[in-house]
Parts: sequence; C-alpha cells; structure tokens
Amino acid sequence: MLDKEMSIEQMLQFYMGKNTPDRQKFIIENLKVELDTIEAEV
Amino acid sequence: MSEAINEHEEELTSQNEALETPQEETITKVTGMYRDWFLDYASYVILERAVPSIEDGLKPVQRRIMHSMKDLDDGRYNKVANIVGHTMQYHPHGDASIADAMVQIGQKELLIDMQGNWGNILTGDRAAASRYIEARLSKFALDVVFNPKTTEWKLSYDGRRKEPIDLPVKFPLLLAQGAEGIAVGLSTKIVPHNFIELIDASIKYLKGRSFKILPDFITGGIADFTNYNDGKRGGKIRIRAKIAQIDKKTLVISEIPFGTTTTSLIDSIIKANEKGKIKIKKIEDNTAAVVEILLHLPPNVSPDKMIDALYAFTNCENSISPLACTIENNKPVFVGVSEMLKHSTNLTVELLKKELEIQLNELEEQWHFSSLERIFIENRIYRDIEEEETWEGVIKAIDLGLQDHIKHLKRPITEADITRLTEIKIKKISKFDIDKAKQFIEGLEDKISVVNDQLANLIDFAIGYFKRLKDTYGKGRERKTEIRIFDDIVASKVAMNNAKLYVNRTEGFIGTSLKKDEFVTDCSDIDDIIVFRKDGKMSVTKVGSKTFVGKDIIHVAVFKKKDKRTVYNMMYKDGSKGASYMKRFNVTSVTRDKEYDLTNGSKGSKILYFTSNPNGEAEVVTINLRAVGSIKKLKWDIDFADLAVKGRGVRGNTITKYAIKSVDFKSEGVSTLKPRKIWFDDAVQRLNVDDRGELLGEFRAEDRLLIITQSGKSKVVKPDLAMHFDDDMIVLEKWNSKKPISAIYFDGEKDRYYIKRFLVELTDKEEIFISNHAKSQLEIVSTDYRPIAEIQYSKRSLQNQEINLEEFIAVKGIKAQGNQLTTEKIKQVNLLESLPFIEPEEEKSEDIEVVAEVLSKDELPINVPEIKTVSEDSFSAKKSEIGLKKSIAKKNIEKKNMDDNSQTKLF
Repeated sequence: MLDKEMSIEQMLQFYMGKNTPDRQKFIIENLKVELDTIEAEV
Repeated sequence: MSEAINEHEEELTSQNEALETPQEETITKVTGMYRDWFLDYASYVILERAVPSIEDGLKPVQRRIMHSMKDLDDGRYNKVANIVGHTMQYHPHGDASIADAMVQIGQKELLIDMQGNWGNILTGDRAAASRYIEARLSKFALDVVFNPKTTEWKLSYDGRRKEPIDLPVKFPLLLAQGAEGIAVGLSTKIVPHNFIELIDASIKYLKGRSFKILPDFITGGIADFTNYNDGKRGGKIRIRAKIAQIDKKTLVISEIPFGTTTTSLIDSIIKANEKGKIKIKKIEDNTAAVVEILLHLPPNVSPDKMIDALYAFTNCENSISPLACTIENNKPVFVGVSEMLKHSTNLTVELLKKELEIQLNELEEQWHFSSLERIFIENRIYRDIEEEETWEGVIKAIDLGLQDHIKHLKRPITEADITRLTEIKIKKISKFDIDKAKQFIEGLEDKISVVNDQLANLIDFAIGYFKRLKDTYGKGRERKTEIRIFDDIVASKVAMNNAKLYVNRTEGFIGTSLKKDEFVTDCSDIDDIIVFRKDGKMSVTKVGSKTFVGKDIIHVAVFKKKDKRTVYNMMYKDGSKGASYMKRFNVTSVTRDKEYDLTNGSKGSKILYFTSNPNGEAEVVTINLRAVGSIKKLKWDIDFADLAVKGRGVRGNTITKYAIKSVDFKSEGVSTLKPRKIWFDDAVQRLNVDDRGELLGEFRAEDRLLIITQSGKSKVVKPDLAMHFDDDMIVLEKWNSKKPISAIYFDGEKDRYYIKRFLVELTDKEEIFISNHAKSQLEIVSTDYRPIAEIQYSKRSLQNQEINLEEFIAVKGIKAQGNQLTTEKIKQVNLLESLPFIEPEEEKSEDIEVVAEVLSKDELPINVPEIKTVSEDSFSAKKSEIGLKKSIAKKNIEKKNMDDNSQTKLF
C-alpha cells in the first residue's frame, strides 16, 4: 500500500505542511468539479 | 433514467475491468488516496465555500441567501431565522454560520434592507439573535441582482430544488462589497470600493476611456493607496484613523480605520500605553452612531507627536494586503480589480442584451397573436368552423380562412396558434372593438421598435442603465475614505521616553538596568544609542538592559538618524607618535553594532578633545604643547567655527606634529548652521525640510509660523516637523511680528460686516479674531501690507466697491472689533492685487553674518593644512569676532533653551 516514490514523511509534509507555491499550483491544476445543471427544463 | 443507470453500470464495469486485468498495479497507494482526499477537500473549500465567483461576486452561501430571500420576497420583512432556515434547503450547513454570513451582507448596507439590531460595525457589537431581527431585499438588490429568465440553474445538493449557478448581477457587486476568504492553498482578500466611482468607471470603460478605481470603506478614515497594485497580490494599503486635536490636552478619534473596531482600537491604545510607547491619561469612548473616542493627554505631551505615535504604535494605522482571487469557470484566477470591473461591465452588457432579446421575443409573440386574433375576429373566420365535425377539420378550416390575411406576419402560423384561437371566448368576440385592437397592436409595434433601437445601440443603453443606477441609488454613497499620501512616521522619533539610560564609562557598559552608575538621559526602548570611546572608535547599538560597548567611553547619547544638526567637534592624536588632527563631523547613518574608526586608523590613536553640539555650535579651544626642544609657540587658540563640517570618515586638518599636552576649552561659540529652510507639503499636510511642496522660508531658532483658519482663529507657533494642521487652515506662512493682518468678517450678532487690521502677537494660545457668534464668519483675510478688496453686493442695484484696507482702518489690537463696512448683504469678496510695499530692511544682527561667512568656508578642500585660514580672511574674521562677542552674550541665554529643544525636536 505504501508508495516507494514518496515517503510518508514527504507526503505528509506536502499535504499537511506549509502552503507552498507548488502546492497551490497543484491544487489549481487538479480541482475537481461537480455540477448538476438543469438544462432546457425551464 | 434507465440510460443514466446504464451509463453508471458501464462505468462500474469498466472500472472492474481496469481492476481485474493488471491487478496489483491499480491498487491505490496511500499517496494516491491522500491525493484524492486532499483534492476533494481543497476543491470543495475553494469552489463551494471561501472564494467568490467573478460573475456575480458572491460566495455560495451568499448566493443561496440572496436566492432564498428572493424566494420568500413578498415586499414585507421576514425573520432572519426563517430566511436562514430556507437557505439551508440549498446550503447544508450550520444555521449560525449562515446567519453570520447574512449579517455580514447586511452590514455592507447594499443588498439587504435591515430591521432590528443588526450589530454595529464601528464598535464590533454583534447583531441580535436571528429570531429577533428581520430582513428583506433592498430595492437595489431587487433591481440589479435577479432575473429568473437570464439565470442558469443547477440542482440543489439533495436534488430537490433548483438554485442559480450564478445570479445575473448587473453591477460590480464584488468590488462594491469586497470579500475575504481562506480556502486551502489559497486565500482571497478584496477590499470594498466606492459605489459611485465603480459606476463611473463602468461608464468610462463602456465609452472606451481609461479608468482607475480605489478602495473606499464604510468606516471612513484616511488611506494611502499608493501601493494598491490594482488589488493584486503584493499590494499594500495603509489606513489611518481620523484624529483631530480638540485642545492642547485632548485628541478625538472621529473615524476608525477599516478592519478595526472602536473596541479593538481602544485595546491597542491601552496596550501601547501600558508598554510606555505612548502616554494617555484617560480614554473616553462616546461612540454610538458615529465614532467619538476622546484621548486625554497628560501635561507636557505634544498632541502633534502623540497623533504620530498613535499611528506608529497602535491600530490607529492599519495596513491591509489585498489579494484578489476569484472563481472563473470553476478555476481560481488572480486578476486585478480593473480586470474584474471590465469583466462585470461586459457581463452587464451581455445580460442587458439577453433581457432585451427576451423582451423583444415576448413582444413579438404578443404582436403575432394579437394580429391573428384581430384577423380571426374581423374576418369572422370563426364562422368557417360551423360545419366542421372533427378537430382536424376545425384546424384546417381556420388555417384556410387565415391564409389570405397573414402575409404581413413575421412568422408562419403554427397549430398551437390556431389552438389558441379556438380558445377565445365568445364574449370577447361579441364585444370586439376594432379600434382598440388596432391601438393595442400599434402600441406593441412602438414598443418593439424601441427595444430594437436599444439593441442596436446596446452600449448607449448600458451607459443609460448605469446612469440610472447612479441616480437612483447613488445618494448617500459618496466617498467616505479620504485619499492621501502618507509620510512615513519614524517610530523612534515619536516614541515616548519610557526608560532611563545609564553608563559605566570605565568598564564600558551602557544600559537601562545600570541604576547604580551614571545617568545619561531618558530614552525609549526602541532608541539607538551612539557611543564614542577614548580610542577614537564609535558605534551605534540598540538600547538594552546592559550592553558592553568597549571601555573608556567619552560620550554616549541617543542616536537620531539623518541628524545633520548634531555636530561633533573632535581632536585626536594619530598613533602614539603621529601628528594631531582636528575635525568636525556629523553622523547621519550607520550600521548597527559596527565599530567605526574616527581617527586615521593608526594603532594607539587617542582622542584629545571631544564635544557633541546639538545645534552645530563651534567653540574656541586653547592648545597647549609639551615643551620639547626648540618649539617656540607652545600655546594658541583654535576656533572650531573655521573648520567645515564633513563626514565622519575624513582625517581632518592637521593641528600640529608636536605632542599636545592639553586642549582646554576657552569660549563657547554660536551655531555655524544655516537657518533651516522649511517647506509645507500640501499632499501630506506636513512640514518638511526636503524641498517638498511650498517653501515657507528660512527659520532660525526664534522664528515662528503664522496659522490662520477659516473659523477666524490665528496662532503663532514654533515650526515642528511633527506638526499637524487643521483642515480649515487658510494661511500658513512665516510669522512677521510687524506685518499686519487684514480681515473682512461678518458679525452674526450685529448682522453686519466689519473690516479690521491687527498684529498677531507671540502667545501660546490660539486667538479668535472674529466675534464669537454662531453666525459670524470670516469673509476674507490677507497678510499683505496693503491689500485691496473688491466687494460684490447681493443687491443688483449696488455697484461693486473697491476698498483699500490700509486707508479704511488703522492697525489695532487683535481683540478690536474693527470698522463697520456695510449692513448690506455681500455676495462675494475678492482680493485684488495688493499695492506695492517695500518691506523695511531688517537690521540684521551681526551674528547672522558670521553664520554666512562660516558657511562660505564649507567649500574649503579637506586637506587645507594648518589653521592659517583664520588670518587669510582677516577682515571678515575680525568682523565675525565683533559679531561673535556681541551675540555670545545674547546667545548664551537662548542656547540653553535651544539645546533642550534640540534634544527632543529637530530644531
């Protein structure tokens, strides 16, 4: 289950640590969008 | 429905397949899970919580509140608790947080019409519980925010209801209200802007002109937007409270900076007072509808300095770093406020276009059917259906009957049209009035042409729309925050002395805790201390409880940055065997805790003589040489005034190559510094010596400033760079005790105009020179010697009158009433060009000349050897000497005062 490429420490540092420009970029680029639009009904 | 399920199943199977084939590899690793969880949460907070949309400028909770209020809107107030409950149908979160969000919208005084106790943004008092307060949409919100026809909808979280994706807001709402939010990985801070200015900017943009928008806060205050940076990251704005001086012992805060409340402000003032940074005797908070915080100062505290200190050490100055981040197409974008305004304006134009198109469509449909109806009844087509037996037959018959008359219609008729025709009531047919129908159709045609015209000139229509918004809702929304450029307040200059500095010279310690040692001066705990040592080393260090600075301290004092007034006179011996030198220098800037060598750098150098002169004084000293060998002249005098003031790094002029036995002080000298030129900078309303603004003149220690205000008060004050000026100041100039002031004023009590001329005397008090009646007012004041005024009367029949004030009345005391000018109503008084007047030559005391002479020698090259210069210029030297002697006596008395002052002030 654990990843060899990224140690737990690194991972926690990235996700739970300080905000960095890298992380901000990562978030903005990978945002998840859910939208239930109502079309043509009205 | 079944399709959707199938799709879902397909997804599942494809997932299963993916899982089945390369089984081991698709196990989601912990990092992958973390990634998903993290992105889920981050996306949710960014898109659904903290960051407003660029389209309507609302965060989801705000949008849902607005939408709910529209749902419930019936023109009457609704309980906030009810609205909050309704909002929860769209926003599945706590009622308290929704209520808080709603109160915040309300307090921005734009979208919600509030009833009851909604809290006080000035004091920070919270709103009453949501069951006690009521709300309805403001007229502005109803006008600008909603239109179901142009709204795009989505399903609410549980799929039961529909809610808007974005509200069709036709106004830069985000910029007007501002927004603040902390999401994950990013945050946003957009400050509010002025309602009217935003509309003006939108109009300018639509006209293709450039625009600039600046923040404006409902709390008022004074702000410096120099570094606003269009609201983008990296910008910074500074906002200050409006502080005025009531009298010498009382300050009043009448507006607070955005981001503070009177409570937090007073707390910060109390804290600064406890720390000793400022000194306040008592704080009185009378804030209710408007801010009024009275600060009572202890005696001997300069109110001017205190205002600066309040800005430097308390929340009276607040700085905000805006960071504009909004959601555009489900992505956070960092765009500046100008860009947002453009976006909003474009959107408004688009929405207006959509509305017009919808309106046009509706009108055309109406026209189409009314025309059909008319044809149907006028031509009695309904009779054609009498013989038809089937529904299809009826439709066909009507269609056939209509065919001859419908060539002018804009679209072909449909079955639905015909069905509608069959539904017309008999009553309507029997009572049909052709003229009325004609009129109605013509009316529709007119309306259609108007809408078409508006669509063709959409930009003009949009400009008209914005103008209407401004006219309808702009009242009372004028700019509240005054825009100014702040000068930087140097904290150490305005800090209160809250510590005592002591020195142990031999052991080389300075500090505030060495109470057993020698007391030096009062200081504040943020001051820097300059130390000179016997070996010619100098250093500057921050004041501490006990600091080692090196043994054999000869001088220690509080260091003032950029202080060119303090001049150090020094003589030193270069090395143990070298020649002796003398120099005069000032220390304007240094690196803290770095040792500077003031000598030539040779080992064993030591200082023979040293004085610190706060106002650039130059003394005369006697040099005694050691009697060695064949030296003939063992004793002579040196006047430091002959030496130019240079930087601290220079070697100095040689005194002698022989060993000096002693240097003795002989006599005191006067300052060799020029009278200081002072400017008044209108932008920051401050005095300065840096050539900013208008030159007021050259000021010597005894020179004063004359200030006259529109309220008819005059005062004479010592110029102080830390000084603040009243808003209604009309005269600010160098005071001349012999120059009369001429004034024309209206006496409210006697109901007539007076002219008076008077001299302002040197007193500490502010004096009023017009009568004390409420209706009394100053018409005009002149400080010219021979002013001429032109009087324009309100009565048309009266000619304009020219008056020579000098002839009209003699110069009298400040309390004199003056001579009556007229009882007629005066429309306006203009000052004309004054008569020429040659000022009597002031008998310049000779010490001034000394100053000038010495100054001219400033240009002497650094390496002029020896002190021969004295005799070289013997004429002026003699003259100087006479002047010196005369003035020394006079100066000595003044000097003490001057010294005292220069310790605390810049003069």
